[in-house]
Amino acid sequence: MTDVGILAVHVSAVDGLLHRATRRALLSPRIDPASWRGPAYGAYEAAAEELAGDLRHAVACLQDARIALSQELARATA
Amino acid sequence: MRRREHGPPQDAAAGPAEDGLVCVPAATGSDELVVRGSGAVAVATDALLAHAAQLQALAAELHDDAVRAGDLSAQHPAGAAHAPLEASMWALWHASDRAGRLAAGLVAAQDAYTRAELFAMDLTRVLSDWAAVVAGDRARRILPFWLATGPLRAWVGERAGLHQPDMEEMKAWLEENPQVYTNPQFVELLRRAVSGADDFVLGAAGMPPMLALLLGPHGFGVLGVDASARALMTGAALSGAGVLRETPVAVTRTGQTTQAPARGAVERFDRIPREEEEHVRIELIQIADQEPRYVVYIAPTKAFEPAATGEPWDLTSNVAAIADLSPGSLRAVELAMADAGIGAHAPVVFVGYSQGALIADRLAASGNWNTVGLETWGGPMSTAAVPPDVAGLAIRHTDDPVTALGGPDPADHRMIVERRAFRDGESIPSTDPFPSHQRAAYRETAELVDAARSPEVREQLDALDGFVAGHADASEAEVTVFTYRAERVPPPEPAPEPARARSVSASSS
Repeated sequence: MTDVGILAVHVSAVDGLLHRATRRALLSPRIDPASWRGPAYGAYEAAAEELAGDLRHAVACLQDARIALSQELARATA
Repeated sequence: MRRREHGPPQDAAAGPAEDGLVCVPAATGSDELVVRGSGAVAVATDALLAHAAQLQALAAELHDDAVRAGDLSAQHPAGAAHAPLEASMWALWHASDRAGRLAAGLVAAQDAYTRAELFAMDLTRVLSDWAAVVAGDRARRILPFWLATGPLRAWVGERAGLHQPDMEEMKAWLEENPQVYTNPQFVELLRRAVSGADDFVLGAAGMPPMLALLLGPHGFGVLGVDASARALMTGAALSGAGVLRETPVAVTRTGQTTQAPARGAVERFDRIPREEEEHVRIELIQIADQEPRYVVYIAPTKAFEPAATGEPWDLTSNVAAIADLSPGSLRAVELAMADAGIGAHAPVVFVGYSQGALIADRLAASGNWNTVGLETWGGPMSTAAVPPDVAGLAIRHTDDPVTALGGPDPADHRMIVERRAFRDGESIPSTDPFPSHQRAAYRETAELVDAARSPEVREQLDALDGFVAGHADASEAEVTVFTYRAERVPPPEPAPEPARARSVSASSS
């Protein structure tokens, strides 16, 4: 496979990662207070919010990677 | 049914996504199912257990994606994409780690809370049993004074214009105020009263509280709700009033038909006999190249008179079942099973509601049948321990007083799914006695059980669904349905003594 072909495959792979990461960031799992038993819901909520932040950060990193790979592909194609 | 969901409505409503990540649709109020059973968390809501499983799945998916991002980064060691790809790998890895730790923390937090809750519950049960013994002792001490001052109290009451509460008035008042007995606090109080009845009697008989507790369910287990029920039946027999007296029973096969196998909690609940003349329904499931298997559906109580008449599903059977004796309804089910050709080795699932649940528990715990599944609805928990390899659920309402009549839950491996049928302030129908015990309320719960998403509950439901399909598709199963009517048979009159014996006796004297 040529370098262009390999780069195209990699762009497609990052697209897949980005698609899944975006879904996760949009549907960050969270449980309702009514479904919680006992104290410490606040601590859980804080941890869940940090997880949501991590998921959003992963999306941002993958978007950067997608742009960088696309630029490399454009240069190679030219 | 009321449901509330997080996240974008269009996505949340879509349910599980392709990659297994879903937004947790958290139920609220009385729609919430609480799961009690063995496992990492002894008590948790269905939504919470499902959430923990989702977080674990999420951690695994993020880990896999982090590995993929790392591979891509390694293939671009010098390009401009290297740094963002490596950053993506670390971001995904951090998210995976956090999701895994959140899942583990969730289980640990629920476990710790459950342990504290169970400890407090055990302590209050021991204290309430202790209080019952002490109350019995005090009652014995003040009884002579109470009896001696009876006429004086009556005179004072008459002068003050007070009158004894009329039973009919009290009944009417309770019918108009079902919220008094349709709440979890009343049910727990009733459970403790039932559990403490024997302790009260022992205290009244002068037994020291410590000895009574040692003999009770918190000690050697010699006494308990079953012992109280046995004492009640013995007392009724000795009174000669003809109440709570067991009789022989007979069953008649009333129908035979075919039907598709029941799948899911709703379909199984709907097949529990409801007609006045139907007590037992047995489904024979035949699948090619597999041994025949059976599902036995058992009806709820049909008569509440204390004296046994023609109806075996009566109060006498209820008390006899709690007493761990031989209730007429249980014997009738066994007769029907024998008629349907169910042998000791044939795989059986029992499904029962109310008294049917109690009987199903007893049959499953008896060891006389090859019980592979058990699903009960609104039954008092039997003291008989069900084997740990029996799949299924015990479903009940926390505001259903009938479920408290068996006393505290037995320490076996059954998974209990609970729900409050009527939340605080909700309008409770006053047309039926015990609204939270009615079919309509449990039918709604059955729908919620079918919608449960925690792996723990789904495993039990899938086991029961799989039973009717065997290793084949359910549509290949042939189901023959037998229905039975049961009745009590008057006990045989004692045979008159033979004349010769009398004459011998007479001659002897």
